[in-house]
This record gives sequence, C-alpha cells and structure tokens, in this order.
Amino acid sequence: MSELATRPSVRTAALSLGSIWPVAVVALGAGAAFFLFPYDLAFLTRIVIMMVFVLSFDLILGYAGIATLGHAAMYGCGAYAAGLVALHISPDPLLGLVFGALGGALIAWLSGLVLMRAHGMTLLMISIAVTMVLQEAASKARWLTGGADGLPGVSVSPIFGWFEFDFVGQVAFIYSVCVLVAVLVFCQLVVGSPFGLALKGIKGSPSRMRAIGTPVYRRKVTIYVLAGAIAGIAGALAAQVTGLVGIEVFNFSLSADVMVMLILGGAGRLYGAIIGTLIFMVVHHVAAAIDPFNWLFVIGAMLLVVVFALPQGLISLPDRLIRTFRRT
Amino acid sequence: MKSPRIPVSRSYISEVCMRDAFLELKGVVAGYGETHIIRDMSFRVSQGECVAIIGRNGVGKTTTLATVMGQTRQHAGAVYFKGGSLNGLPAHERAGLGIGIVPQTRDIFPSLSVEENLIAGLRNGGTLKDAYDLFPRLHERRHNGGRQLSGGEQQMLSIARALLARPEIILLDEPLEGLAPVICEMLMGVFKELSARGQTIVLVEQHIPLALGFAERVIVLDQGKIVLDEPSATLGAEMPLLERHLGLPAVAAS
Repeated sequence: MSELATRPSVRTAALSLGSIWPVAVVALGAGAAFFLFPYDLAFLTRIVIMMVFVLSFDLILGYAGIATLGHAAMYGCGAYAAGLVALHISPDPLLGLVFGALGGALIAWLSGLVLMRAHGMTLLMISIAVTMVLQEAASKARWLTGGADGLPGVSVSPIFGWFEFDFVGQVAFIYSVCVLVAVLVFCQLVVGSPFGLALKGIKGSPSRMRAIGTPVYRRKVTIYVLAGAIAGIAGALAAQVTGLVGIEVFNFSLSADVMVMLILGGAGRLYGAIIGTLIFMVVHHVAAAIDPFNWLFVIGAMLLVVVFALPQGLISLPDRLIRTFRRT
Repeated sequence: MKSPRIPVSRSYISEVCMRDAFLELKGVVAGYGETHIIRDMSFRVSQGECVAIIGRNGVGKTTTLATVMGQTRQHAGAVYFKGGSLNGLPAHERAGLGIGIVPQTRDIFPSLSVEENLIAGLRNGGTLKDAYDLFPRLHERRHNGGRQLSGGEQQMLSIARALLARPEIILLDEPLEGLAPVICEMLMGVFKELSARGQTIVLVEQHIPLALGFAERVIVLDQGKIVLDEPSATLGAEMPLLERHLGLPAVAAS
C-alpha cells in the first residue's frame, strides 16, 4: 500500500472531473428519489445499503478476480459489531460504523489468510463454509448474540448528537447516501491507484504480476480486508437503520444475491455495482408485489438475458447500442 | 553468503570469467511437474555482461530463464544471484532482488492502457518518463488499451515495463520473434544502448548472427544441456561446430 501514499499525481488524477461527475449523478439521483418517493424511504435506504455492500464485492470479484460466495461473513460481522457497540458501549452511530468496519476487516483478514491461497471451486467452498461457521457460532453464542432471536432492540443516538433517526426514515436515508458517496469516492481512489492497477493485473495474470515483482498473495489479502471493512460498514448501516441484527445476516442467499447484482450490473466497474443493485432491488420489489411466489423467475430470466447478451453487464448497454447502431 | 568458485568449464578462459559471478547456475535440474527439461546446467553471468542463449526449439532455453525467475519446478542444483541462493524464493521476491524478465508471450495486460500497464510495473524509483524516453512510441499510445497495440508495440511495452522495476539483470526471451525488420533493428539498438550503460542482459535468440553480433558470449543448448559456452568471436569462426549442434537449417536460414 506504500504506492498509495507516494504517488499523489495518481490520486489527483483519479479525483479529476471525469471521475467526479458519476459520484454527482449518484448523489443527485438519491436527492431526486428522496423527493419523488417520500413514502418508500425505508426501501430506498435498503437499496443504498445494498449498494455499499455490492461495491465492496466489486473490489474483490470485479477488480481482483477473487470469486467467493461468502461475502455475507463480513457484512454479518459488521452488523453484529455495530449492534453490540450500540448496546454495550455507546449508541453513537459513527462509532458503530467504525466498529462495523473493524469487525468486517478483522474477519476478512483472519479468513483471507487462508482463502487467498485457494482458487476456483476450493475458494468458493471455503468461503461458503466460513459464513456457515459464523452463522452457527452466532446462533450458539446466545449470551453474546441472542442466538436465533438476534440482538434485542439496537438503537442509536442522533448523528453528531443532532440528527435524530425519524419515524419516516428521512435521516436514515440521507445518512446512508452520505456513507455510499464516501465509500464510492474511496473505491474510486483505490481502483485508480497503482495498487488498483496491480489488482487488475492480478485478475489478468497472477504469474505475470509475480514476474514483475508484485507479491500477489499479500495484495489479495489487502484488498480482501479493504472490501471486508466496507462490507462491515454496510452491515453496520443495516443494523443501525433497521434496529435488528439476527443470524440471517449470514444467510447464504445474501452472498449469492450480491454476486447476482454485481454480474447483472457489470463486474469490474464501480457503477456496474450501483446499477446492478438498483435494478435487482427494484425488479425484486415490484415483481414480489405482483406475484409473491414467482418473483424469482423474473430475476432469473433477467440474469439469463444479461449474461448471454451483455456479458459485461448492464453498464455496457449504452456502448453496445452505440456500436450496433454504427454498424447498421 | 558467497558461493564458492567453481573451475570454469571447457576452453573458455578469458578475463570475463575472472570477474565475480553475478548470476550463477550450478548443476540445475528443472522442469514442469515431474519432467526434467534442463539437466545439470551450470553457467555464470558476470555483472555488465551480455550473454546469448541459443539452440533449437524445445531444448530448454525458455525453461532456463523461467528457472532463474522461479517459475519452474527445480529438482536439483542451485541458482545464485549476487552471491545469495535463490532456491525456494517465489518469483516476486526474485523480481524484488533485481531480476527482470520479458517473456516470449509478452504478457501485457490487455484490459489496461499502456500507461496503466507501466504503472503496474513501477518499482525502485523508476519513472514513466524513463519508459517514454526509451520508447517515444509508447508515449504516443499511452492511452490506448493493451489489446489495440501492434506486436512491436506490445513488445516495447513489455520491455519498458520490465525495465521500470530497474532490474540489475534482465532476461529477454526471443524479444524479436515475429516482428518487422524495422522494429527488430530499433529494439536491437535499445538493447545495445542498455548494454553500453552497463545493464546485464541474458538474451534467448533463434537468429544466430544477431546473437553472435550482440552478445559477448554465447551459450548453446541441446536437449537441456550446455554443449558450447564460448565468446561469440570464437564461435563465429566455428560455423561447422554450430551447425552440428543447431542443425543445418538454423544456420543456413541465417
């Protein structure tokens, strides 16, 4: 990570206008949603939290090419960490986020030391196993986690002692959007740095990266920990906003959904994660409202079409259309 | 730790081999998996020296370079660099010690632009300017994606990226293969300039006159073993000997 500190030119380049406007679009979109759907803020907040979570997964799958099915491990640890801090130490939400990030990073570091030595199917299986072990542990350790009932009544104090979480969820939404924007800017700095380029190189050819002197294993553990911290933040946000932390934060379906959202939107691009999450959540919401039993069919069909027609994800749709029109 | 000097093999005794060995292979047996591709290989390269490795296809030239880099399975023997053993070190640590490689496959990252490819190789205080000074063409193409480059440009990029880590020895694996004559000439010019600056170079090359013209010393491999290790001046006068080891077509074609 020393490259990050020693190369300010790259850092400023990543912050140049070209990469700032998409962040602005996200912020504006969130602002518009705030006024257009004042009665759906709870749902919108869930989308925003999911975006943070999927962004963290994009760092490891999309950029470093590490495919896991256990990303919920970090999310869950972040949620429990934030919940426990709120219950036992301090109800301050920002402190909860910090502990959520630490919780996610810690479990990512511990499991990453083993996971990052594995590849392919082995990696998928071990990552699932880690999450299952954590879920089982959370279920058994009743004294700490409340077992299957979850943590009772997590509540947080007003942000900065001023903005109290209200009944409609306005503060929760704005709070989550602020976290999303901060995470997005951070991710942009990471992927634009030499460290981020090294990750893309590792995805392309680990042996080549070794030959030009990159310690591949260490870089992979580093990004896994970074992604773990961000996933932990997402979990902490969810805990604070919903006031609930149960063992379902470690559900396998959560890890799988994250992968589907990312593939749908386009892995390897930060905005792919944003768009994929938005579309998945909205389609899920609408389809489940129309037909509560068969909504998965819609998601599955959508994923099929995207994977076959747009292997780069929905974010490549504009490029694709322009190219098709030029050809005709 | 200093490696003990070994008696220099064969007829090659000149002042070159009296210098300290910079890179040294001693009785190396290596291959992929259980196979033995190079057998009992010993040679040394001095600091600042230019050595060419020649031989027919499949005699272990690439495997020799890959073994120095730590990308093969080494069954026996030892590789020393700057007096220390490299045995058991992973490739990235060898690169960190100052060994650079330009593989035959070039191995640039197609998903990254030229500049991003170079940044991924930055180490030891190398700067992008060094690369662009060496290859102005890369500067013109710096925002192009890796997959939009011609073969020659890819090779320039691969060489420039390896040099950005400021390696003390650079291993070039058939860098001129399949390139236009103009580009070959330009790249040879670059190699000569590097050599004049004191860069230690090990070049694997199929084109015999080029190898003889460029390197101070030539190592000829056959079936995983060194059959000749002589100064290029001596070897140039002994075409029949070369023909025997390389097969007629190789020499006739040149």
